Amino acid sequence: METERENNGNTVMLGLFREELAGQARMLEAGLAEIEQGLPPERIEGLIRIVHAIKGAARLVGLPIAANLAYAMETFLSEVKRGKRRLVAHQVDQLRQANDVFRAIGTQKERDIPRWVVERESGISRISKALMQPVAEVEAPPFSESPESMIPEGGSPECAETPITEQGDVTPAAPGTTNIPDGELSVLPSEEEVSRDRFFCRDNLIELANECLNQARRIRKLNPVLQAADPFPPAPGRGILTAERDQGQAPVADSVLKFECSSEKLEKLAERLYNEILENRKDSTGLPALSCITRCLLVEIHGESYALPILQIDRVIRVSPSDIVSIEGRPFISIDGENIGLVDAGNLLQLPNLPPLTGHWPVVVMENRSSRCGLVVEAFRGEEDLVFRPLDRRLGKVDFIQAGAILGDGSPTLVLDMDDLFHAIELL
Amino acid sequence: MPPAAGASSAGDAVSVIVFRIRNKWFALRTILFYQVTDWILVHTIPGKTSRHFRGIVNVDGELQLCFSLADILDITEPAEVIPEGKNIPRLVVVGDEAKRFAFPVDEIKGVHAIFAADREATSSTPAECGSHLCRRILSVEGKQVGFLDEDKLLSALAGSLGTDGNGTGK
Repeated sequence: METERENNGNTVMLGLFREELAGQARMLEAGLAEIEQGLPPERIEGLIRIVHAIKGAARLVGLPIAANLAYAMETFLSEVKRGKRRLVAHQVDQLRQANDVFRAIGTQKERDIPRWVVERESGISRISKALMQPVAEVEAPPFSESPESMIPEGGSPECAETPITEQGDVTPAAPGTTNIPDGELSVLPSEEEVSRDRFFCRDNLIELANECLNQARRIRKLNPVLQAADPFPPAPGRGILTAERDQGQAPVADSVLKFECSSEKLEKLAERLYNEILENRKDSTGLPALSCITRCLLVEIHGESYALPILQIDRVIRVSPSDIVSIEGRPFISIDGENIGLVDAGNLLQLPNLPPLTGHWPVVVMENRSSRCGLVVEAFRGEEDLVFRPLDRRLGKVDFIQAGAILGDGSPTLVLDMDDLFHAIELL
Repeated sequence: MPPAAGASSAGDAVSVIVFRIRNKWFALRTILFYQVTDWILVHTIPGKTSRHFRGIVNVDGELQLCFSLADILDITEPAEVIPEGKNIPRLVVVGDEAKRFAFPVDEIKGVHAIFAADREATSSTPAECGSHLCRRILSVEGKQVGFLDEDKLLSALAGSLGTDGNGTGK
């Protein structure tokens, strides 16, 4: 029963993800077209935000392959924005291929999306890898000197939708189709099928709506009589959802409140939230935008707290200086027979006036799919369930930071972006 | 009976909040204030924190951007010696629904009504005001108070995110 409920919930989330993705892919496509025309750097920020939102949403619905692809796009575009990378025609094609994957996901049925993505893992990963290719390995004439070079041979926009092979060659796609990795062709959605008014994926709002719906279903199962009740019976069930602070509920510290609620009310709230997500109306219910709770490890870096999602942590250890070996001038420790590189978190974040590390170093061993590395921090502060909150848009993209959060004692903290950290460490 | 010529009336009054930053007093229209709260912890943001922009603060469950108005106003003099009990630092949040700015102040004097006659009878050069963001000097309870130009102030706060934002330290 529980599994069935989870599956239903996941399907709902995948459906919302797909809806959002279709609009986001369309905006990306328009942005990439602008890149060919010489998009100013400040406009690239908008594209970065879109792929960042896709990355978060893909993780939320359990699509790490798609999330990695979005991360590769985000990293690539960030480097372009910072002037670390110059764009050439085949790289725009790579971005297009990545976006083609998102567009194609947007045409799948909800329940088919995970299988569709897994079946194409190798091709999608190949695109991610191509986008993550270090700058030094890319031969790139300055974008500003030759915008015409952005258009591949053949000159038409259709020809830009091309797949990348292992060797980096490009092959034109048939008009009206998109090249999906591993050589499969899918028909693109028509203009009418693609929603025009989708903006940023508010995965947290989706999560909240989904929770409301699940709670409503649970109450219905527990109280069959409710199913025939009309229209608003007394509230015999207990639902958990976020309080509306502006509608008579007592304000609470973290905006989360448990209260009794009928299944109908929960369903109506879920419907309202879904509609808001689709209509891109932000926070008009008065509900906080975030409700996604993540278990995090709290560490101290430069005297301040930072959070790391527990899921991406292998272990935490204290390393004595005698355990550290130097290989090519860089510190390593041996864990399970494997050499793990150590990187000082303060240096990585480019914090000023760092105090020297003394005694036993607190180390967070992070892991991704292919490797592990050790992040040296100043202290461990414990664990906490955190609600991630997006940082103010005026800040733009903040390197290595995924979101903000508020700790139980009311103090603010920053959530580190593990993908960003891994990428930077790998470059080191 | 209508007020005599030159007399103050409630109709032409502007409500302002008077506050102190180090040794200087300033006034800003009350309508600009979103919140005044106790001083709370600021978390710096790597690569973004600067002399003007300090980081983020939690104001009633919302993360607000926090600035150093003392540095934006170029106040270099140290704070005067204040009798114990009066020197209560506060965090104020100003702006509108879309863009809010938090900054610490050393003391809040309170809400005052400023009448047109008072506003017009005082000096107004930037040098006399003590800051390029002031429109004129007011006299409030015997104190010289710089009346901040809200447009210039909000513009300077917003602009401080884009300049000097290369992580020069806490």
